[in-house]
Amino acid sequence: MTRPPFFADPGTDRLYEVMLNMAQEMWVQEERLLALEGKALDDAARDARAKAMIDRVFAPLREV
Amino acid sequence: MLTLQHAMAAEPTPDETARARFVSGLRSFVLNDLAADLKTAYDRRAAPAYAAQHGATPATSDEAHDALRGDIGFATYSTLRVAAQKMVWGSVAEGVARDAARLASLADDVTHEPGALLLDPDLDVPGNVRAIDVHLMPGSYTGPENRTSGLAPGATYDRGLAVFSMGLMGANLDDIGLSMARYVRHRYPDFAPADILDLGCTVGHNSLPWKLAYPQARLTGIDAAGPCLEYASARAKLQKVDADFVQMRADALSFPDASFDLVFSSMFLHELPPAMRRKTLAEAHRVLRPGGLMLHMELPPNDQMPAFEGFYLDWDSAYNAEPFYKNYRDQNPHALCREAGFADDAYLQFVVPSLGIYGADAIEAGASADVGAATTGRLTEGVMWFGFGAWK
Repeated sequence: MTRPPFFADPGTDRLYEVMLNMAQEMWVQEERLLALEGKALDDAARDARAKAMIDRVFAPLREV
Repeated sequence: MLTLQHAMAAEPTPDETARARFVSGLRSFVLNDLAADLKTAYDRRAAPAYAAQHGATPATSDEAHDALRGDIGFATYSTLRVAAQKMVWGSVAEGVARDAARLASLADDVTHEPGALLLDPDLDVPGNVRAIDVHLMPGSYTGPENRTSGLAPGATYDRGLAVFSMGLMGANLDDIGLSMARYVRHRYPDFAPADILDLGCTVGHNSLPWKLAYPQARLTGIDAAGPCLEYASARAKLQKVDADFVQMRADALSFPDASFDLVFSSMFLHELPPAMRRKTLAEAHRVLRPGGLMLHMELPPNDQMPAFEGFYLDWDSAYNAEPFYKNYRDQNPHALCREAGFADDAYLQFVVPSLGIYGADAIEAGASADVGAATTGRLTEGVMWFGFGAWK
């Protein structure tokens, strides 16, 4: 890491990156599943599903 | 997620498409939802705490930055934004490498089409182009191997920008050029440039709209990064747009005096070290014909924005490998034009609505935001573009 961490514990920054990579791979599996199930969603529908998943998974990060 | 609408784009596999879609969605979450949360954190916690300590709320971008350090909202936004930025390039690199032979073949097939490509392998490519991972893009504009030729750096930049842009920069990443050209054509109907120059054009994505706006004009794009121009030339030819691409530095143009009627750039000046920026603007003045227009699409200046909005843009300078970005935004564009030799009363600036978001009617109706508005220059829903320049 070439810049100072954003969180007090530098490990937290790294854990965020791991979490994001995992969420990305989860989305890849979701699109594979759509293909295997023969669901021919267009780009807009896939974008909307990805957005819904991101909103759901990362909701705890929102300011309350 | 944006799918580029031209033939030169690298073709992703389904898994690569899915990865890129996730990154675009993540960036949208960060730049819209978490950005709103960052403002909330600033208003509720950071600014009041700063005021309690200093006797006044932050008045500058730097002070807003100081106020936010250590706030969990700032840490969350910044961590996710940096990670998402790295994921942009990670989501496209493999596809570009795998598709290299096909892209080379496509480029070979159109070399005979109109439009010159003039590369200078001996050019002293400045460090800001090749030695910094600008936007955290590995290898910047010349690629990780610091290439002097090849299509990969341009293809990576093009595909990466498509993921990065979340669809807000046009179908072929050309919304800035299209919006600016539409504005100029409507605002100055008697202006008919015969020769147009785009400085720091990279892959030519915002160059080509000027040829569409002024079909009779000769369009030339220059950049110090040869690989970007190789890609730009093929990209233009495959779109049947006649444009010349020439490798040279913007601060040392090899064109004679008074060669162009319009000298344009987009998102370029903030990537230049200050001395190079001054020389570039002086060169723009030199190569313009009398009656010509110098026009730059850029980030709006700090002295015309509130502290938080200014810092929001300056974030890139601190955390997105844009070392000259804040220095540029701290400068006054009117003063820059004056120093370059333009008359004081020849200066112009405006904010133009994005053509893709608001439509041509909004541009032609003169709809615009204040320079200090949160949508100006910020890649988020409702973005508007800031332009400035001067007539010679």
